[in-house]
Amino acid sequence: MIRAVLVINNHGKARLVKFYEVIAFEKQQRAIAECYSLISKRSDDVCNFLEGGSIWGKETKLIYRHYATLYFVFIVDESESELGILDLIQVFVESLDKCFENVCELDLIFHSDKVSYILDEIIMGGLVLETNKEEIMQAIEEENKLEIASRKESLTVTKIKR
Amino acid sequence: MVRDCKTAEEERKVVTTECAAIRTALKEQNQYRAKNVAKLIYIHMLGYPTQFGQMECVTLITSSKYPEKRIGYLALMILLDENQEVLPLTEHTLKKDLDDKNQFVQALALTTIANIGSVDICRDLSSEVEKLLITAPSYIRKKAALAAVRIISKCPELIDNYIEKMDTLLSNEQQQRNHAVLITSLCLIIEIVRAKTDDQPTQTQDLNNEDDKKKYVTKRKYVLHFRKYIPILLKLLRGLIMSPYALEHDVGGVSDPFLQVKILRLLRVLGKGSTKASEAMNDVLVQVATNTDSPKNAGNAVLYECVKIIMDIESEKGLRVLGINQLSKFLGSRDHNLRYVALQMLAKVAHKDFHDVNRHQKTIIECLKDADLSIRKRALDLIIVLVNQDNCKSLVGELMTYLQSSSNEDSFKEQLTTKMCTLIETYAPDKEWKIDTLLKLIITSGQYVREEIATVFIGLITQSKELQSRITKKLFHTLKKISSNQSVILKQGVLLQVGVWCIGEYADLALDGSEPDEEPISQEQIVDLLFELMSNIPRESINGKHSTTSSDDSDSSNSKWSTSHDISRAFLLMALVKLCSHISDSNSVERIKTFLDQNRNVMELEFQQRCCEYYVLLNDLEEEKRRKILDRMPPIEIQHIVNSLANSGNNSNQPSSSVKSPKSPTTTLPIQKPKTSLEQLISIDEEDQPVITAPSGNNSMSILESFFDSDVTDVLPSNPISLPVNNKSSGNTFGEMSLLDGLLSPALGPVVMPVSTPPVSFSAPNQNGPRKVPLLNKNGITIRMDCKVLDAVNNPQLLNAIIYFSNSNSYEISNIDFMMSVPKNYINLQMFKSSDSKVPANSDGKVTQKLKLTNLQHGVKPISFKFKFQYKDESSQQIVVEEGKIVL
Repeated sequence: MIRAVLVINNHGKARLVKFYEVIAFEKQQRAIAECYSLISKRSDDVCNFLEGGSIWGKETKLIYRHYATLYFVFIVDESESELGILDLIQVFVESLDKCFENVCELDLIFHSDKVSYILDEIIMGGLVLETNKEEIMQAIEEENKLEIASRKESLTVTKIKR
Repeated sequence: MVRDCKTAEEERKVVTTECAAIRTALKEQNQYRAKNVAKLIYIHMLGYPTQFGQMECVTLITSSKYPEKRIGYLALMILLDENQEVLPLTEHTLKKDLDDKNQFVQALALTTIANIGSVDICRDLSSEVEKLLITAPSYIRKKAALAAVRIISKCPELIDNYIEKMDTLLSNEQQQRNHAVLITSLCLIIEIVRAKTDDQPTQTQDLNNEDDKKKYVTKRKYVLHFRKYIPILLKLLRGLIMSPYALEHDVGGVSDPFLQVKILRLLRVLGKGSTKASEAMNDVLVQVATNTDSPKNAGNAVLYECVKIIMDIESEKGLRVLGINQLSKFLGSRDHNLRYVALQMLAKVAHKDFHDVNRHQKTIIECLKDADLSIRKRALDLIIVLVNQDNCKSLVGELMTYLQSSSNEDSFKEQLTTKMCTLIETYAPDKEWKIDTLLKLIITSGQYVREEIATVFIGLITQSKELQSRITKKLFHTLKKISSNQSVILKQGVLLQVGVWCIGEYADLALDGSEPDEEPISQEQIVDLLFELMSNIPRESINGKHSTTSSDDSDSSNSKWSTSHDISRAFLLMALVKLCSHISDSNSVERIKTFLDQNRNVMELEFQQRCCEYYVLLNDLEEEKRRKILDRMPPIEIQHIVNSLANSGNNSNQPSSSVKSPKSPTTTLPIQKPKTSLEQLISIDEEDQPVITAPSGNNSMSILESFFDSDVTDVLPSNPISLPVNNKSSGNTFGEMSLLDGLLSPALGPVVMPVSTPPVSFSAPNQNGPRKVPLLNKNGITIRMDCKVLDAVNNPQLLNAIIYFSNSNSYEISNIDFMMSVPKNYINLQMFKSSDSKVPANSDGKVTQKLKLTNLQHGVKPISFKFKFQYKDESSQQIVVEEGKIVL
């Protein structure tokens, strides 16, 4: 089970927060803060795994990758393969990259909804849904098309009304 | 949506304004609803409350416009969880959307179920999900499978509905084309097979419970059911390894590692515990292990999962060796992640494949020097598993070197120190090495050593006469080096306590045999040292009363420190007094007496009390009695402390005293309901036993108590010295030491406190035969208890006892009922039925009752108990009740 997915920037600001289990709102914020304090201390040449800290317990691991200004942190229990999750993070980031063409932190801020949609195509209910980037992209593109189409439609409707 | 605020304050302002604006906007229905909700998602992520937006999400998902629906669902999943009150309102919409013509709308509903579906929603919408699982396009099927995982984890009773679907999938190759559908379906199967694992009856549960049995059987049923698909899974796996290069599933040169890992994981669950199933997998696993070769992470992920399954199922020896070799390859890799997983895995299998793992000892020790804390922790865990009696010296030596050289990382060092203590205790090949190593550990990292270690160490020294002199000298020199540096002393509480204690006990030995290359220690030097230390430890403030009950110590480090300072000062005072009987230098003795005299009116109640008492002890008591009181301690039993240390060794953050927290007693007498520890403290007080105080604080203090308890009571007369002290001061730090006042004040002399029977006295324990303890002699009824320690070496805590009931009257007594109650926090009582319910007339010890007493604080506190004896007098037909209290 993936218990949570967090994207945090180098200064500890959350850029994407997704919890796959019920966690009280205040605790979520604490989890983000603790996660950042644990990970930001680590240099880039150490391993990508950490024990869960006080919020998650010993059996849970924080698995993260650091890309430029962002930390991508997946919080997983012992049933997931640590190395497999690293690959999954890679899949997620590559998908973002394709979607936004050279993704940067600003994309995540201004299109936080789109980022969530992409994540929803990869992980659902804490389990891996799709790992094939082509499939992910295809789904996202079609959904976006549908959205644009329906927007145009509603625009024309309002025009006609006028 | 601009959030370029420079300060948190600014940000908060903007968010509040925006929230207000959104709130108003939500009230008016307008076309910006979607945008407003999107803003809410962002505000939520920043950590501000957004409950007011929940209703809006529910409205948005009912919208017929896809963009609104889409953002509505997204917000729903982020702003709500399964427990929110508004969630049931969405059920109708979810159902409608599951039947929608548009697959993307269906997908939204499925995602919502998988992410936040509550029990009710899961149950009600299960049939819709089932339909989608087989007939829909793969885009929907994969999502339906994961929604199904949520459904069966919320409603296990629905599992059977999904098994059939999985059968179809596994037996039909057409259905297996899409890898994502496969991965998610495998997830579903794993969940089905695993679902009951959590409910598997554990040992504590009643196995006869019909429900549990049924659950256990069901769980097995699912495993057995899916075992028949092992060949198909293996074929899939083999197909993946052998498949030609396929771009769409390729990750780092490996064909869909995610699917491979998933299949391996399911196989692991299915193969566990079955030799036959494991055998079937053997060949393919070898293939995976040998054919997967990748410098990249993806290949290693597959290899790692492969090793995991090899170690978990009933693999052949050869395969296991292959697995461990693979791990050792990881261990030698430059990739930190690989080293990490290798160490973690090795620690798990070390107990089973000890020798294979042990061959890599050197590499593992290297990992202890890694720059990465995560890896060091793993390496430490692994080394701990590897230590045994043969390699203890070298491995602990390695750990010691590491401890001395490593930079300051407090939490890790603390863990390391605690674990080292346990290792030294458990595996030390000889006593001398044990003491020396412990001492070294205390000197090197005293600030991390837990207080129990002081007790263990002191106990060990009392048991090893030949080392006392040498160790005391070493401690003297060590303390002398740091005595002027206040900050060091305050950190090294344990070293200080141990050192001061040894000097107090064995100062004369340290004076005697000076070796040629050492400079001899003089009596003045010793006294100087103690006084210097005393002056360097800050006093407790007058108001600073600290409760010594276990929980408080951990609350604030401040209180912990100051408490431990008090204990250190108590140690110093005691050592000074003890010195008086060990040294001949009259100047020094005078100096100590003057110090006590001066402190008799110090503004610190407990310290003052001690000074008063010791002053009286030194000045007014007869020489012979004083000598006996201040005599050397007898060897102290420490086994139970060691045991409790080993039990709690993993949890170094526990407050020290919690180790001694009450264990649940196995008393067969259901007299009292279970008490909380606080109640237990009080109940002890109620028993009026001045010597046995609360089970808290520092153990060595309790040792002093029991020392006095056994030696002083018969020496001291009821000397009428009135002291202005409060007997019930056990809430205070020094309270544990407050036994002298109990002994010196007239009211509380004898240790045996009879309630209704006359004082009981008995002879010293006889080493060979059972010790006979009279419990009652009244109205012709005599009760005697013969107790014996069966195994004084290995298990001195356990006392076996037989109670003999005698009746010298000419009539019999019937309906006898003998009950006992013990201080539950340190004594376990197991009582058997009496041999008869009647004691015939003129009988001597014909009726017996057996019992077992385990003293968890053996050597620290004596066994004490209350008893109640109830019988029916056949001559008068009356019920008689006798009570008493015994301290062994």
